[in-house]
Amino acid sequence: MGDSPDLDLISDLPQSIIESILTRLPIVEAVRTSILSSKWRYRWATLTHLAFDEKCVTSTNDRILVENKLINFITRALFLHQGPIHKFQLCTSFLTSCPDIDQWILFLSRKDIKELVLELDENEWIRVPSCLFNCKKLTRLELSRCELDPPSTFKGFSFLKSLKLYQVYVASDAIESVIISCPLLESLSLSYIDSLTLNIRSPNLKYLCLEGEFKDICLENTPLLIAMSVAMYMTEDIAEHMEQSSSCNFIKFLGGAPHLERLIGRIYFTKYLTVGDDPGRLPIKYINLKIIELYQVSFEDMKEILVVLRLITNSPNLKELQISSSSNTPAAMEATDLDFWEKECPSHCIFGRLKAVKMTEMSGVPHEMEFIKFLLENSPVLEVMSIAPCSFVTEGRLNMLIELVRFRRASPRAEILFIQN
Amino acid sequence: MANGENQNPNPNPIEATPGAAARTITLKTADGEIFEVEEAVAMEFGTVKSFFEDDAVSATKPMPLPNVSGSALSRVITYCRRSLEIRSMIPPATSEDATAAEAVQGEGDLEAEKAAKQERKEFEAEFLKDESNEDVKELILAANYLNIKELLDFLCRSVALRIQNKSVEYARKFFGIEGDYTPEEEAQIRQEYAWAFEGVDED
Repeated sequence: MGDSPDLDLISDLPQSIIESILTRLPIVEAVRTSILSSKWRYRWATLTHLAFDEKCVTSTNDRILVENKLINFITRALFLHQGPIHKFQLCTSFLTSCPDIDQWILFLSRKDIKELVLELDENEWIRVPSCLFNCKKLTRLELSRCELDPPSTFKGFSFLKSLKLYQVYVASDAIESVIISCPLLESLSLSYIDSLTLNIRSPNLKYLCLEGEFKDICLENTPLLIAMSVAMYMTEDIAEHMEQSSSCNFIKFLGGAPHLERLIGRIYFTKYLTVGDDPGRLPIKYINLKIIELYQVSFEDMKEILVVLRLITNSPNLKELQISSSSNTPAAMEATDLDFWEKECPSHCIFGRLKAVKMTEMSGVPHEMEFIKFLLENSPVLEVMSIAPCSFVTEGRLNMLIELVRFRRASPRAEILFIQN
Repeated sequence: MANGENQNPNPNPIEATPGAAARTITLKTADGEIFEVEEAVAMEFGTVKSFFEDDAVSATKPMPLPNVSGSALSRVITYCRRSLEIRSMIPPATSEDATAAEAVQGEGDLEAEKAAKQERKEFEAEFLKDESNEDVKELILAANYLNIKELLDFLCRSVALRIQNKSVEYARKFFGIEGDYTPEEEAQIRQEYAWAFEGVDED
């Protein structure tokens, strides 16, 4: 392992590799390589990816001191930097509202910035400066915990492919106009932005992630949507609004996404879809929809069951289905409309490609069992049906098993796995 | 797992048996070693891939790799083989953009990815355990020449880990860099970069 002193192992590696190595060091260490030799004095300064957080400076209990040191560090580093900056990331809770952030973003807007990630403190709600909207080359923008107010002259980010807003204070129409003015947008993630009412018009959108309290969402133009993950929270306000609404949420949400391949719905998503008039026969089939995961489905609500059925019976190529129940209530146990399954349930319904079903948080209430029975009877290529009872249910497990064993299976290969832990 | 090496001076031509055993591609290193590699593994090398995609290149002669030694290529092949195995544990993503797809991944996908990540972590820790710095550099140059992004990322990550949190002299010794600052220059630099050298002992 003899390293002779003349052997300069690292200095004569190509610049791209050096950059690759330096980028993977914490920025403060990358800057310190300036001391290695004269060749290295400003090698770090041409890095195109910069990531800052409070670990750049020595920590103390004095928050103001840390903040000042951090501001100094970032400003110095940017001042010495040469060449374009393609990726800039700042994640810290130590920065309270400061004009320096505005200056840094102005600086970045002149450096061809392509990817910008800002995660700030939740107590301070820094207002993102308007020069952010001059970063014409942005392809990716991630903002957490700040206030966003696009100027009226904003024409959009022509190259933006990915937008992620987390706990951002912004008006519904502002987001709508940002979305529609970014023609190349492929991935959109909106989390915990309160009470949004959104019409999403995004012709190239492929991935959509929504979490939070949404008043009203309409996917008006999302023809290329491939995957969607939605977690709808409810407030009294929203519940009231929903009760008065007659427009069909199912169509508003899923009517414009015929190429959907993956759908994940959490919290009150299925409930959200029940709102509005019955759409009747659906005009579209989700022929690419292969994976559906729905959580917190309320089996005591006939409307939610209908939503689930409508979804799966219009997805002829469904391969994997996961349903997590939230039905451990007395109302659920005493279900009275059980004749639905015999009389009204869509018959002649074959899930020709369904291979795996996973039911979790099951309590064994009548509608849950009927649903499982329905699936088993109509899934000729099913390989696994896995059932996990919810942890509160202890007494009813044997009864669940007894019922399960009786169900007819269309698939001779189907295994039923009862998961106990 | 050393069946990629073949010291036979008469390299086998590519077997084009349809549907039977995997096709192999023959590579010749700078020091004259001949390697027969499964096509799937060889196509991980960007350089090899473009070579064979360029019009009808003769598939019977071994492809020369003048910048790569036998020992380096052997390690590279081992890495790529294992990497392919681990990647096959995850169902194919519907798009190239990993960050986008992450937000909307189903539970099943996430579990598979977690398992794959764990395997990769263990494999990578083992892979470089006994490598000297010379070896690591050689591997980096080989991965760079052969244009294997994943291996290059891994190696750069590993080098960064090796030099992190170490003193200046350690970094210099470790990589054989000769510090060529005069004492005055060094003092100047420490002042210029005082904001970055806070709390660090001079050594």
